[in-house]
Amino acid sequence: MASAEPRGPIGRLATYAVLALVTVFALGPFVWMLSGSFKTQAELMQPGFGRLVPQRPTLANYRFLFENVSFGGYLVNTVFVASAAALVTTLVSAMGGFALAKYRFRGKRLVTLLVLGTMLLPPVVLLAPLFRLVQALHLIDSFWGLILPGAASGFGVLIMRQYIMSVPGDLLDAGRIDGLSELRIFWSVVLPLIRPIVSALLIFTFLGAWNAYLWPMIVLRDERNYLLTLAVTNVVASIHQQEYGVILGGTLISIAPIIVLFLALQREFITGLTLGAVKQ
Amino acid sequence: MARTAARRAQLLVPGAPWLFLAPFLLLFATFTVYPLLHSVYLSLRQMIGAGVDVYVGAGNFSELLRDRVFWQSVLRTAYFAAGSLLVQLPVALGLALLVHGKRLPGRAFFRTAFFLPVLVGPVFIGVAFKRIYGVQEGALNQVLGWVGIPALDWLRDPDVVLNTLILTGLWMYAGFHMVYFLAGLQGIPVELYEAATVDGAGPWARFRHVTLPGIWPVAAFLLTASTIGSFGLFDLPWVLTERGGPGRASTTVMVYLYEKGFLAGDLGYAAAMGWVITLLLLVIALVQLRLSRAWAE
Repeated sequence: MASAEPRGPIGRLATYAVLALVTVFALGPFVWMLSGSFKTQAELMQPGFGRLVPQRPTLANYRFLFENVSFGGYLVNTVFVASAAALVTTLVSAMGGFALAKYRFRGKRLVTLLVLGTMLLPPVVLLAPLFRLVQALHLIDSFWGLILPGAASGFGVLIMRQYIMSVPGDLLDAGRIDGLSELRIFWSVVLPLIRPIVSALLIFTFLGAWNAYLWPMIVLRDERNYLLTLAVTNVVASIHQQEYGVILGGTLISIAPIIVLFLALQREFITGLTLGAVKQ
Repeated sequence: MARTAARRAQLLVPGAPWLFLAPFLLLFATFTVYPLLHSVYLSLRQMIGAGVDVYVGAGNFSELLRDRVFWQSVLRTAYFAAGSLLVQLPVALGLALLVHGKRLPGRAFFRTAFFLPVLVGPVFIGVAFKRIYGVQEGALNQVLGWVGIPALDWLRDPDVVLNTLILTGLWMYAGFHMVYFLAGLQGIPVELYEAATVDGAGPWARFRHVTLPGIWPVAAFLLTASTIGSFGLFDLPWVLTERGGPGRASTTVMVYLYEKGFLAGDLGYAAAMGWVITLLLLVIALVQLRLSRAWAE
């Protein structure tokens, strides 16, 4: 703490000047998007940052998005895919992690090594063969083609395993003595105890699926199945290229739910998004 | 006692661990192990469109070695990766040091504000920022004009676009790396600073001999993670600078792989490219590991 503590009024002033500048840099684009999405096309054609508060605020951009571009449908698709991906991935990971953390069985080392080994593979190796597989399984244009390939996450299993190891074995035995089934022990003893890591992995996966682009672009063909990322580039920005208000409105609708979630669950988000460091 | 009870319980349900592992193993075998093996098979074949699918042996790999577009895109991606590291890590560390102080009023606000861009998908940034980077109408050139910096063609000047991506990356990820550094800073015991002060160490000496060694593991981790992440760069050049343009000026390896494999339809070549990129990343990661160990000494 002693390292960068500002000394005296001048040091303090300088610190806040830098912080204010960075805040403008970080938040400026958000403010600009928000204000721009309520501006008319005529006002948006003016160069530069423009006025902070629109001259004649209008909801036309948003109305256009929902009435003419069916943005509501893309929003629903994205919420479904991101939620399903988060739930499936987290459940599969928690179950696998539980098995590796709390049981002794033949083949455990092999499974752990397999998981560890493939974790180091960059996803680019799998892109082409995964596409062939999804084609063969008739999952093109299906949301399951987006949800399932990422559901078996070696990374997810490993962090779950690590976290579940800290759950005292006596608690599980107490459950067994009370006659609970193994499934029951997992569901009502283990899961509640590891809630922080569960919400972290949920958020991590949800956000990843929400912002994903390349894989949905490969899997989805029918425009009605598009997610927000695809809709924003292939529908909004390409067809309505010059209508900045519509583009900004579409972008804002796409990021607003995430930002609201973040402001409500800041701690879980930070843990979720920095899960990578758990490997340390 | 507890141990024997657990043993007994396990004997009662011998298949339990495999039941819990079953969903994972099933999905893992289908969507990771099988594609991985299939990727080797694919990399030995050539596909042109829908009709042609022939065995070419190591043909794809020798073709790749001679493919100038590929190696240029590797160099571009490496430039982006190195530039991002050089800009982002020092900035992120600086921010972390600024908002680390416990007695700084408003630090929660600043942390939240700096982290907010991390949440926005690169696609959305690509679409919205096009306007900010415009030559005539862009807000960035306007702001730079106020301080006397001449306007740049951020998105259409081939000599500038990669730097535009690095700058955008700074906006996107500085807050992300800041959080890692904050965690690293938290792990440094206050006593170390106090001891250093008692020994007469000034601010710079304290930074050099206490802070830097303390956050070194975090920095080394970010170095490798960020390099691997950079090699996956696709969304931003595809959307912001329109399909790796202008010309090929922002064509990264992922953009090239997508073009070859999915637009031109040669999944064999794409698979081979995937393996070559993996090999490159492995070499880079090993070199970085060596270097960061040497520097930590």
